[in-house]
Amino acid sequence: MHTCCKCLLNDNIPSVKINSSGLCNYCTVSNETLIDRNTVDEEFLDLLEKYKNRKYQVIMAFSGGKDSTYTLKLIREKYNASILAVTFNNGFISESSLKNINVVTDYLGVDSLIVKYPIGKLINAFKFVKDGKVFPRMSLERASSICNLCIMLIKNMIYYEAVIRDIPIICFGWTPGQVETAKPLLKLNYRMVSKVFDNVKNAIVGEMGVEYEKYFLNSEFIEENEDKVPYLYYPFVKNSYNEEAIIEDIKQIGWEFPENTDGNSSNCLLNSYANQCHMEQFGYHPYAFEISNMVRAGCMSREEGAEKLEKVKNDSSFELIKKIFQNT
Amino acid sequence: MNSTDVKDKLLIFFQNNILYNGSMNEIDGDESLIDNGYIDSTGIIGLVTFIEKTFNIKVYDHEILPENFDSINSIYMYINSKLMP
Repeated sequence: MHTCCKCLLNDNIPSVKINSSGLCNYCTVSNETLIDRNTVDEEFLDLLEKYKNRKYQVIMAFSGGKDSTYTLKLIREKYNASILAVTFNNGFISESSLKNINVVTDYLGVDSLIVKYPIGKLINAFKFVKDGKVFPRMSLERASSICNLCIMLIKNMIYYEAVIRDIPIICFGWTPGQVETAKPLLKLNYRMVSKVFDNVKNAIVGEMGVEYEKYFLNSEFIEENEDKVPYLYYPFVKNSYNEEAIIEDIKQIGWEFPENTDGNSSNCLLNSYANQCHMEQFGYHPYAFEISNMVRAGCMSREEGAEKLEKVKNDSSFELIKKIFQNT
Repeated sequence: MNSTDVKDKLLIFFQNNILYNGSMNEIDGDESLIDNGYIDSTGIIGLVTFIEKTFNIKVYDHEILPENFDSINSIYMYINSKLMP
């Protein structure tokens, strides 16, 4: 196995090639430089102004982790947006994270909604997707298959809640390393929204049964509400991201780092198990791309990135979750 | 940039991001990339970013449609239509 001397990607990952100089193909084509992202996003401000009379201008996918907490704080304090923070509780959110959700939303004066599906149903679905067959190879380079399904369920739920509550903007707590886009704001056509969700929906419903249909967007529903399909906002295109600074910032409003999550999650106990399954299946860390993207973009040093990649699992959480999966 | 250049750059992108060690013969030019699990929603956004940066064109939100982005041939035709004077 060879590892890029710049960013940490290794050639166990299918799309990665290391050249004779020790650089990966992503680093050799990248002209990534440190960009001053600490600007005011005028386009976002204009959109908030346009929808100033809505009960909520933004629906925030709020996991209670450090990134979505910082994002929530950012769009609340810097842009004074009215926000509904929606948390998807997959049954494995740490108690500390649930406490963080309460503390943070209380401090920021933000309404909070928690959506929870029956854990038995989720575990069975996670087991079905665990070997990665449902997801594109590029998805599996960004996250474990279990995380991919969880993210898909969250996206479907958030879109649904945004449409029924007439909230014009969706925001996730994606780091710059998780989504590569130069567009801070994006509004997808309803047909594209429907299409990108259908593949996973059909696989899950086909295998698990029609009782799982309600966890995915219905294409007729989206078509009937095509004018309500919300914008997607990616705040870190125009706002800076530094993990150390973020953690210090959100600690000021009462956020505390959970003690029982692994090094790459600050909210979810399932992450440790999901990562380990992924590494056993595919031979590489599911966070390698996100971390390497951030190293390349100057959001963290290579040493900091290497440290995060070494924190693969929290042993106690891993064993607990493994037992739960085995007994379900 | 001529149409051969466009095709070459697109094929490299697909080779690196969708097929990895596979052959481009694996995918029919009109095959649905989304329905057949080659690309997901985040991948579409990454593809848009690639197209804008590589071909120096602006992809408008209303152009991000299945008929423009769901197959190799449709993506190729979309880019060429934007590059035409």
